[in-house]
Amino acid sequence: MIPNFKSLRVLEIGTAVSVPCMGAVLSNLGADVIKIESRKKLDGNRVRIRKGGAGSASGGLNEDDSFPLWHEFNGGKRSVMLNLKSEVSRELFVKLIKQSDLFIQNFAPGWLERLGLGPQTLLELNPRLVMVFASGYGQDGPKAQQRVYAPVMTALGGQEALTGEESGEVQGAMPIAFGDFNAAFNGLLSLFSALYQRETTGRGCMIDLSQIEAVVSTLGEAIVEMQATGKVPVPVGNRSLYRAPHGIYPAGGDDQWITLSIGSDPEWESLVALVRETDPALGEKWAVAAWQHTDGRLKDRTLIDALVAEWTGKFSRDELPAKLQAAGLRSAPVYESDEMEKDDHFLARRFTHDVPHPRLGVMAVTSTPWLFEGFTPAAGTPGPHLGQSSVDVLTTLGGLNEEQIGLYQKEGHFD
Amino acid sequence: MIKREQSLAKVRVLELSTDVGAAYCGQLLASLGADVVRLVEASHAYAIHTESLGVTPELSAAEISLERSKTRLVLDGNLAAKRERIAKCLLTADVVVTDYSVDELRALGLHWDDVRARHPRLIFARVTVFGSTGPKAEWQGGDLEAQAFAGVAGQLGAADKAPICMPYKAVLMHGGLHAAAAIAGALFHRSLSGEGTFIDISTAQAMAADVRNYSLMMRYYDLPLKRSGRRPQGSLGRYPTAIFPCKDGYVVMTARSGEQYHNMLAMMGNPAWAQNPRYQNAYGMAMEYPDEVDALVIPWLMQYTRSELVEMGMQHRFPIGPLLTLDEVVKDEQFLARDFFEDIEVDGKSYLLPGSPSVVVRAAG
Repeated sequence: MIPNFKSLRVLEIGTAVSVPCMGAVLSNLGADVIKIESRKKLDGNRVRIRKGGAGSASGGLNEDDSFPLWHEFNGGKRSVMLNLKSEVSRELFVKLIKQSDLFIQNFAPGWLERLGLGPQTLLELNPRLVMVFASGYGQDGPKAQQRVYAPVMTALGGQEALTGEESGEVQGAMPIAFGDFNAAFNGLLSLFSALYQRETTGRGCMIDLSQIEAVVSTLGEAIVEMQATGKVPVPVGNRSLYRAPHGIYPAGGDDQWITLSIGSDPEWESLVALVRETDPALGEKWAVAAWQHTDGRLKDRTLIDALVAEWTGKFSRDELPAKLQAAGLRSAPVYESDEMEKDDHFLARRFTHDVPHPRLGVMAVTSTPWLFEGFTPAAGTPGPHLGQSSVDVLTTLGGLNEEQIGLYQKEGHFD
Repeated sequence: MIKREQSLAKVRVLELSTDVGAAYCGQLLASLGADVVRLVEASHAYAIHTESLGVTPELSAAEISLERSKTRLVLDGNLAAKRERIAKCLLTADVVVTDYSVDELRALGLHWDDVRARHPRLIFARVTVFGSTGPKAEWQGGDLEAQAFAGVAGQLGAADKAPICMPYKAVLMHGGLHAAAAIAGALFHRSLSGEGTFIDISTAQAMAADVRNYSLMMRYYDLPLKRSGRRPQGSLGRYPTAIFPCKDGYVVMTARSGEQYHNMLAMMGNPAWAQNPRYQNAYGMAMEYPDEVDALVIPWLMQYTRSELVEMGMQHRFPIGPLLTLDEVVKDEQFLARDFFEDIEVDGKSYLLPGSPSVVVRAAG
């Protein structure tokens, strides 16, 4: 069975990654996701600095929708413009809420309450509604109003200070934007669970998702370790206390790398056999009795790492991992973030899919990485142009006619 | 008292996990109230046990964290006895989550193809580094390989050193989260359709799907992809976005709009250098000469502690946060106010562990 949620209607008021990513997964799974937008507070991926630096320092609406992350997180959605500071828009929003299953949003805690549209009000309007409100610190607590983005969330959750070199030097993991994606999938877990429960109880709820807490929740092992040893964990680079050799080693060519990891004595024997087969002279240096056991290899890890690097450097990055895997050993190429999509493995798993855009041509958009009986959920259409479906949504769900819509637009109720 | 979720209270999960990905998936489901039974074999080597600090003779740090709220069931006897036990467990199971190899699953009578006919409502999730299909499905791997293949390691570390990984098997954990979310989606769908499904999660792919977004941004700006230490290449599209040193450690600063950059300048007392058009050029500062701007900003930052900078950031609506260490995280007043951490007892000793990041609010009354 391949899940299809075409009967679900989702309202999204989201910006940047966490909530738009949740909406994108729901859309890829067939849900009707309506993105409510206002020019007063546009999604961050609509206002990125333009390519080549055009535009002001403050940015502005990217009218041609050319920023690729817009389509990554908004494919398949419908865009409707409503400015909830206008009473007309608020009334329309209430109509939409009454006809929806889900409402997801990630603006600052308290903004809906200030408009008289807090979660209790929305649950009164639609008792079956399931909501996810995502924010850095959560909807309450002494720091709830602090403004935080993904890299700050991972810093506050302890992740950034733990990522670094074996020397202990902090490097952080900012390019991964872990705080956003981790939140998106925690949000999906919570909302699907709430929908599952709703089938029994008939009752919806609001899920208050703290993105920083979600980061901390991935570090339970480190927190136990700290309490057991009394020592605060610090960066350890690629070092393992349990496997040797284990790490990232150079391959032939400029800045090319592979991984290699040995977890048992038989695996070490296989590695030594492979080294001897490919480089008999070098293989002689590996014939150390103490290294036949993990304890000995861990003790001489630095020396072994140097020998491994000498050997791996003789092969190309794309050649050696396959050779090691054929010998039953763990290895992989170290990919740049634009390379994995070209690997035959990910191609076969439909890692990306082609989405045609009327002006931008065919775009390769990332699929949802869940394979249901071999099927990979994916968006069929690009991210919508601003207000692209306003008329459609406001006539079919809002009860307006085109004349009324035109009048309200002219009066600025939707901007 | 804050209420964490128990929305999967009637769901029974069988978990056969060797490493943290499948185990985290099980723990997430357990944290939502699912009845999770972890099946273990005495003869099996489990990375979750052997590759984590041994805290007690029976439990590693990873197991203390990831096995809480689960029931452990030891599979003993010969293979026939194990198969019989598993077949019995399957009669009441809603979900199977595993990272076992295909051969191991077949031996235990637990391969998806074998069980689907008898248990059409079963949701079966396999969580492995490379996934269950594709030309590299049989490749061996752990978190290191997942981080490399997913493009994570390639983005992290200094340009003149080897790439580095995120700690504590972060990518396997992330794959476990994906699996849990997909399982919850399948459970909801089953409640509508009555049908189970097979879910194939590659932890490398789950993370790669996230990481690819960074590369799309860099491609859009025609910037090379190259790890660059504490600042993501291109400043993620806006200056400042990096980890910066300060008086007592590091802070992260990350602007998402021109307004926020100007808020940073206001926080710094609107220094004279900011009048130079060079430092009003958002594209140039982010992409072309961020180090030059850093040289103007860092001396000012070095005068202040992390908490002083956070306070000033709040006053000026500028996103800035301290790099906290874990001893600081567990004492943070925000988490304490939200009852985020929970205590569990292991061998007479109490351990603090992070709880669920989701709080459920129901309709009043």
